[in-house]
Amino acid sequence: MDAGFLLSFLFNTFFYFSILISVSVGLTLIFGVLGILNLTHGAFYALGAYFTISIFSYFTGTSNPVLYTILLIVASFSVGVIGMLTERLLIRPVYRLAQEYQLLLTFSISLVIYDIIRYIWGVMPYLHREFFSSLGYVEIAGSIFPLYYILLIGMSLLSLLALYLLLYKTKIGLLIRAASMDKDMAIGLGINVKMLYSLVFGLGVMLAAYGGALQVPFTAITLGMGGEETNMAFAIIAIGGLGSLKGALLGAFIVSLVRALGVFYFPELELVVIYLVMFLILCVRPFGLYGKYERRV
Amino acid sequence: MNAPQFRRRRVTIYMLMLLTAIILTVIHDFLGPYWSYIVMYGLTVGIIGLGFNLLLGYNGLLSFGHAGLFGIGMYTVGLSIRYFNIDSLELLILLAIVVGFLIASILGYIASRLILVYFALFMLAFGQIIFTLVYKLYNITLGSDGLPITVTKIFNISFSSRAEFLYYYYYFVIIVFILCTLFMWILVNSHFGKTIQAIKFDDIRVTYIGIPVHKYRYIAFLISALYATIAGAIYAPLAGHITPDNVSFVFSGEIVYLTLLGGMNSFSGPIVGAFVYTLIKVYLSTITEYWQFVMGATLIVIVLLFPNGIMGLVGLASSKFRKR
Amino acid sequence: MSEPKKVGRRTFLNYATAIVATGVIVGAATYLATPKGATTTVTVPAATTTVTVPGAATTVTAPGATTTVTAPGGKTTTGVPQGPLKIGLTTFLSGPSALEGSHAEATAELFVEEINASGGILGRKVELVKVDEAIGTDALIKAVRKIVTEDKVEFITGLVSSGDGTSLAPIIEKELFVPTVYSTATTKALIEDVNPNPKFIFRASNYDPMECIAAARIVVKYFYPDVKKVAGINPDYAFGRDEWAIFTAALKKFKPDVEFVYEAWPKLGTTDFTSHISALLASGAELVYSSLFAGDLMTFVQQAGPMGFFKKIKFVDSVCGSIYSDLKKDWFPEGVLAGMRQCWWTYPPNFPFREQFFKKYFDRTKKYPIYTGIGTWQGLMAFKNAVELGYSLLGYWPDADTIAKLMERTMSMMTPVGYRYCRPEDHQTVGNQIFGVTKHVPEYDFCQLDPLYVYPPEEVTPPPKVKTLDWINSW
Repeated sequence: MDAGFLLSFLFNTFFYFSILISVSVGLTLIFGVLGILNLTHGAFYALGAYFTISIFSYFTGTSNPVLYTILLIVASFSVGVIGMLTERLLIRPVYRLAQEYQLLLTFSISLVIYDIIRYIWGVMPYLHREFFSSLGYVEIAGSIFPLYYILLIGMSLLSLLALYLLLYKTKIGLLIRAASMDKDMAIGLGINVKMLYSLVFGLGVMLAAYGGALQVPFTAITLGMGGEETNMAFAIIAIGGLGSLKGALLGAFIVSLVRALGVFYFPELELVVIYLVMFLILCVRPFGLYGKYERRV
Repeated sequence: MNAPQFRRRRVTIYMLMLLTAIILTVIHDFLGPYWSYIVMYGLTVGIIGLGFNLLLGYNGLLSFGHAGLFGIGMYTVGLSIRYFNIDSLELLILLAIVVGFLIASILGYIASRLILVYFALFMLAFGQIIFTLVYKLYNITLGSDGLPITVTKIFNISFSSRAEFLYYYYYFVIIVFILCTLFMWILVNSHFGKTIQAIKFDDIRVTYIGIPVHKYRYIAFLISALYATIAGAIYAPLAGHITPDNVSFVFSGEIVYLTLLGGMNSFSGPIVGAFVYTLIKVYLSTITEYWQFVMGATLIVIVLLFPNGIMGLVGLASSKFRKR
Repeated sequence: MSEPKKVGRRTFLNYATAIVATGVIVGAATYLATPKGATTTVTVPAATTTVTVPGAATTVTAPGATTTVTAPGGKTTTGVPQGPLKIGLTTFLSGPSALEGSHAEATAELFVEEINASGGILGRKVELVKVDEAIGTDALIKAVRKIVTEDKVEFITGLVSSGDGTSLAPIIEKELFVPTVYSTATTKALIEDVNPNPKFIFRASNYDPMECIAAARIVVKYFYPDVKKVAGINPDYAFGRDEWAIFTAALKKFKPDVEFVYEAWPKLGTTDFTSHISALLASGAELVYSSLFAGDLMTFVQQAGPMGFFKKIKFVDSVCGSIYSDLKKDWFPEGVLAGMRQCWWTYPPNFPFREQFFKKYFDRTKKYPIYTGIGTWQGLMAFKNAVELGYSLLGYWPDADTIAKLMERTMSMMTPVGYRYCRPEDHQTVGNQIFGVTKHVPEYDFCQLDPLYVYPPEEVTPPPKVKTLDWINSW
């Protein structure tokens, strides 16, 4: 095992980790604050990717990386707004119902979104190459690393930082955390919890869309994309603990490590290993590694 | 317990089932091979629905992994035919039941201790593991190409062609369906069934009465899993060819859908839902490719406005009728 | 737990809203079904009577005045059935493999338009009934059952996926009895394991052993004769498994000292190959053999290029032909050994049939046809010729059995890519097997092939009834 191999292995793990954290942090945030397991996450991930590639297509010919980065964020933001609307219109009515209904509702919304994507964007794959190729690559220790991948890692980490700052250093972050800890008390104190819920849902969705958008420069965007990443996100938050941000990070790390190992050493069974890990953790610690103990309803 | 209303309902159910069996038998020759196939498919899916609803409607537990259990039934049959050359139907189904029982008993031990969201995730993980295993172990299961299923003997009677086999298989499926429905009916109306429903409403109170909630949940899980396995085992000879498609998360979603469509708070809901879903699917796939959209949209409408599904509507309508 | 019912006005409003909502939704869904580049299935509700006796073959009854009852072993005795001739087209209409399947669709549509413009087949207009293979094998089987038993489809063509091909074969041969031509579905398992004595099923394209063996020969003789370490990346299903097994067996026979250092098995439709690419690079492989095609091939090459893959490793892909007019210079590298199956836009040179056909196709689709297109075309021609031949000999429209028998002869024909011969023993059609090394050329925006290697079928095909791996072992 030489330095080049080790470097590229670590890089791979970190790279996949960066793709996953966006999605899983969004998912766990929504669960932590709203108490809903958001099954629409994958659909918004895909929507983010499609939005981004459509926006990019208006700018073919230019290859200014800064421009593309901004467009990416704009696209994710727009999808986040759509998420907020969805929450306001469709999900809010079911808060007072039992959890089964919430799960079912988010499940059905995801089906609808997938077919809307199919209707608007059609069935053929989409590609956008300029952004990626405009950045070039670096060579370290005999292995080649495209600069975009490094940019992606950076952007993921930045978004995490931004989220952290939002939640822990701003007033709104304080309100959100308050509402997640004790909803009724927060209402009692005069906080507009409904508005907060919409906001958080939109934020979570934006993170998911962001994850999808980041894929655009180097992946063929097709129907059914994001299925694997979404399943991974569920595995991650199950492993790390629903509602826990720290857990999401740890879970993402574990999953990306296991996947990288899987592809290198067990190419036949790559995906099974991840689900096995998820399964085992649910057996032993159903609340995940950092999950909060919940009263049985 | 033997109040006139209750007795009337019990009699009605038995009569209904008898009537269904008779109608299905009588129309068989008019259906033609394609529609017989649809009926059989509906019955099979109805069996899973029944089992699934034992957990959802009667127990409040949403499982997104029942396709995995269905897959265990299917692939036990498929692999037994391929590697052990077993030819007779009843033996295959028996094998599937045994395997399903073993797996479900281990699974249920953990599953019955989990509450809603975690239960859903757990079953999701399980379903995905079975799916990925079936898909990836190409050398054993032939992965996404699937396994061909040829069954030529039922109770030692041989059939000369597949068409003939399917003709008589129709009756076999009806019988299995009736048996499953009867058993489920007796179960949910028994002491066991009432306890399960009580657990759904408030499990802490039930624990205080001294009832071992775990045990009841465990048994309910086991039975639900067995129903899915049996349905899978029945489905294999019907389809003639099994693939991982029916073990996927998508299929789990469809099971959830049909149960809700029919009404999760009624006994016959899943059965009604199974048939309606089969018909919708067949019909819609010829006029639109946006089947997912319709499924999602109708499900949204159901959750928001008609949480009790079709049978809920029927119930409302009939109670209005009775008021007069 | 749902909240307690509120009586009266509330319930009524609920009902009303629900009905309106459902109506809107269903209306929207139906509206969405109208073409927006999307495909519509053309189904004419048939007023047919079917008489099925358990144990007998299912009858195909034509709609209209003439009702024909076929007893097993009997013959139809009416002239030409009335009503349109429905042909089933099962191919990939959506998803990443649509890049491959769209050619089958385009060729079929072109064929049907021309045939109908000249009066149809024996006066019967042809209608296409389309089924999207992307719905999955299980749903595909159900759909095929439906279009045969309900829509009375009389011929099926276009099929692309090897997995679907092997799955559908027993159903067609034992249950549905409809002449079928797979345009692709190239796994050897079809004629070696699953359906060795086909009656109704034909395969129009060159199949796996041909390209794998050709690839092995080219590698050993021209492309990379000193190769020692080889890795593979193939899609994890029948086709990919088949390709790797055959290629490695052949290569090992030619060069016993070769070592297979790594195998990747990504799922069909994978969007992220970066881990696989790293693993391949880390394995020390000098040559990588792949059967990735269409969308997967595109994604793989686009992700691999920037990682320096093609600078370090020689790449062989047996099915670049799936997207050859899309292999644009700006992202597809030179120096790749690319397999084209039977179809390359300039071969055979100076061949007017090819030039006309390809030009017409290009004018319509802005692409050159690939093997799925040529295969579909060949199947349709074979069917048409069989029907016309049968009619001219018997005086009436032949039944399915007869058509299948006649197709054994009519399937061999001169195609736009040269002569292709159909073996009567296993209904496998063979013709030239084309490979080439990609090269960037100023005049064209997609990669050209130089040098071009063309193998006549005898050199790369196992004889009928001989298993490929046995044949390779016998060299």
